[in-house]
Amino acid sequence: MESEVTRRWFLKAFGGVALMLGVPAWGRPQGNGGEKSYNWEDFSYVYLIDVGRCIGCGMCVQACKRENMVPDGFFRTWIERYRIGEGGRVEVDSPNGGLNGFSSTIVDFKVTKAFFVPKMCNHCKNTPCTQVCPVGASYTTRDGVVLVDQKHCIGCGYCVQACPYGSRYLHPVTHVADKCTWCYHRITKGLKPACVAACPVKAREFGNMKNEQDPVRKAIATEPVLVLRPELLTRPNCYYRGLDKEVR
Amino acid sequence: MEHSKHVARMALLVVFVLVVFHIVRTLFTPPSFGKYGHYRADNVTEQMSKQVIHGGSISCEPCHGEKQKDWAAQAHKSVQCEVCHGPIAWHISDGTKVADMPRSRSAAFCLRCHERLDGRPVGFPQIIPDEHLRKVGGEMGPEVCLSCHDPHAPALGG
Amino acid sequence: MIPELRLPQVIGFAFPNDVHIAWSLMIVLYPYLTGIVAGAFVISALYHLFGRRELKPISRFSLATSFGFMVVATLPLLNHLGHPERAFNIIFTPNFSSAMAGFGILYNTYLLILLLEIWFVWRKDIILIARRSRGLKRKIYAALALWTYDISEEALEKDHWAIRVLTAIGIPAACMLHGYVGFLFGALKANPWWSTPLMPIIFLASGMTSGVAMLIVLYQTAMKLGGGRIDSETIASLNRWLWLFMIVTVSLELLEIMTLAYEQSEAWEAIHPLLTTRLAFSFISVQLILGSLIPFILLMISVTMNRYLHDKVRNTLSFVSALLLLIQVFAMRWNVVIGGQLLSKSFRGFRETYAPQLFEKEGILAAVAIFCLAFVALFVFARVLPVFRSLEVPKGEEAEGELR
Repeated sequence: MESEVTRRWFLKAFGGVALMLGVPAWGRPQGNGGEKSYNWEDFSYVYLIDVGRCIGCGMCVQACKRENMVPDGFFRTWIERYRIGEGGRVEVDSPNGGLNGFSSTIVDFKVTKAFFVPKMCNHCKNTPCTQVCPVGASYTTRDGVVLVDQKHCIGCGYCVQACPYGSRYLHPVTHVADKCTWCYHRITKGLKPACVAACPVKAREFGNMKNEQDPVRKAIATEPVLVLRPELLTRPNCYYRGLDKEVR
Repeated sequence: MEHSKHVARMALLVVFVLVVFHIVRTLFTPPSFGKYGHYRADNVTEQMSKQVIHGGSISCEPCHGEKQKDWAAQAHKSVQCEVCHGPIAWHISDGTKVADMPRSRSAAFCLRCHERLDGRPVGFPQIIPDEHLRKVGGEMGPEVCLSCHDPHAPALGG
Repeated sequence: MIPELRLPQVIGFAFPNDVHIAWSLMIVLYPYLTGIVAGAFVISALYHLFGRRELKPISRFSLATSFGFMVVATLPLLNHLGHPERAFNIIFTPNFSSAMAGFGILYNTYLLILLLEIWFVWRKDIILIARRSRGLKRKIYAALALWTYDISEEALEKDHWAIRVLTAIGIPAACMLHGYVGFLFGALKANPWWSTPLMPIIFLASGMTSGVAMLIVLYQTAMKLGGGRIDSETIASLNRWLWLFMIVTVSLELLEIMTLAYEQSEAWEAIHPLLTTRLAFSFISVQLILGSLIPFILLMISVTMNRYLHDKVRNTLSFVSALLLLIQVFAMRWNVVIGGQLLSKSFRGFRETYAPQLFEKEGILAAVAIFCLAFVALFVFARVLPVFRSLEVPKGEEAEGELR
């Protein structure tokens, strides 16, 4: 059944397949060329995580690792499991970042509440990391994504120290700073980040604040949401629905 | 000024070094640096041009459309093909198949999502393996889940 | 192709990326070196600008020491960088919101001032040596003199004026060179062990301590080896300065901990176990007891009972205190840099330990080699230019004009 939606999806699919065939990338940020030009002035990306929906399957971590060739032992995104019990007992774990899911390990207290928290670079509006990059290798794009220029980075590690969320690392092979890019190479082609696409329970959602119809924009504007470490005034672009006070 | 020749000469040397430094700096600053901000503007397009590895379930449709019809109508439709079978880039390169996709049959793989764990939302289908097998009657084995459930149409009884 | 991952032991819960230490022994060594650079320069400034005559015997030597350590100061950083071949990006495209970008300007400015001051201080000696040499040596010293040979009273007066000006701007330059590292750590809100406004002052005070301590150790060693006399007034003065600087240093370090312990904000949950378990040996045993309490007592004896002490006793007390304080300052750098990375930003876990290997790229041997290289540089300097005496213009020798 040929509907407008199917046609548009097919175009996107062909674009996707064409890319797999090595068709050159789309034009300059404000440029033309390719089937559709991307203008970063039209976008201001935002991410919404629903803690209540996450099942801790770790498929997002797996997808990210595969999409971005993340080295073993390092993580662009990861899942933390919180088990909270009586007497203020809190047990947090993240076995291999949640890459292979979680197993039912025993804790020595009665668990009254538990949840999984996906984490990644928050792509803050007031980044402490780009502030401290000595050479201008770490920067924020006009569409709100924080990136690292792998060819300009000198590998000093200052940004790794400056991130309050532990989302950065020094790549063990390329020796430059690395982190979640919100799959910039995907989102600028109209795709979702690999983690968002992989999530089977819609715990991860991705949106554009400049689009008035965007469901994520609507959710953030109308529902109670939290960010991590708000007191540090980094102004993250990752929002959390259902975040507990124990989560840093 | 008398007796200051040496001071003047040193001052001249210092100025010369500073001038040379500024020339070198201009030569070695990368060309697109500073165009949009304090970074190398060319990097933005470099990042956009990285290879896309996951094509999404839509990219499986051209060859596997029939199979997808079942999947898209059943409970696992929210689970993308590539989540269980790996990204399309592992499977297709330059329009031709380069490798088989993984097809995990193990119970451990199913339990990764469906084992009952603290923290999983109550409404989400999850089981304690021993209890489930006792209830439905079955022997524990490495691929026991598949003896009753079809991964593309997992719900039993319609 | 991915190198073998030695996953460290983690106690509690650490963010997955936090288990990897980004700043190694090299980054512990770097502020240690610049601290000595700044401290040695300040001692030299006490004579050259403030006229403390009892420090004249080591006024040139302290400049040379500052130079020796300055020359090797970039080596630990270059060794640590993921891409040392891109190191110049820091001065080609500096991002001035970053304290680290200040390195380019601060290092080169201070180096320039130091080199200029060395030139003006030793200019007369360079010319006199050039006159007495022949062949290649003569050419080299003539070039060092920039081919001007005026050593008349008036010219030397100009030199003294230049030295005073350079010292005056050199003191803040040296302090900035070392203080900016403190700011680099202190202004990082992500790490509660580092984040404090006191950090630049603590670094500076301990830098002064290590500079004076290093001068005491080197001066006494050089005199012992070279058969010279250890000037008692000089040592007494250095003892006073060392005692003063170490009191300021330790007071600030303790003040920081006391404030954290008193306020007991969120970070204390992580810092308290950090100090009592992970850093128990290096902080309490080495930095506080061995490195602070004992030298404090030794120096107290040395300074308050100075006039009753025999030279040998004073020198020994001085030497031992200086050695212990050199260890204390190193321990402090270790506890700050490594300690801050042992604790995870989750505030719920720690990396068990950080143990640099002997032979790894940023390991113990590399650190020792770089440290020794500073002494080599100082030794080479002392062969080129006299560090403990000043050559006199012989009577009858023409003061200005040609080289001859």
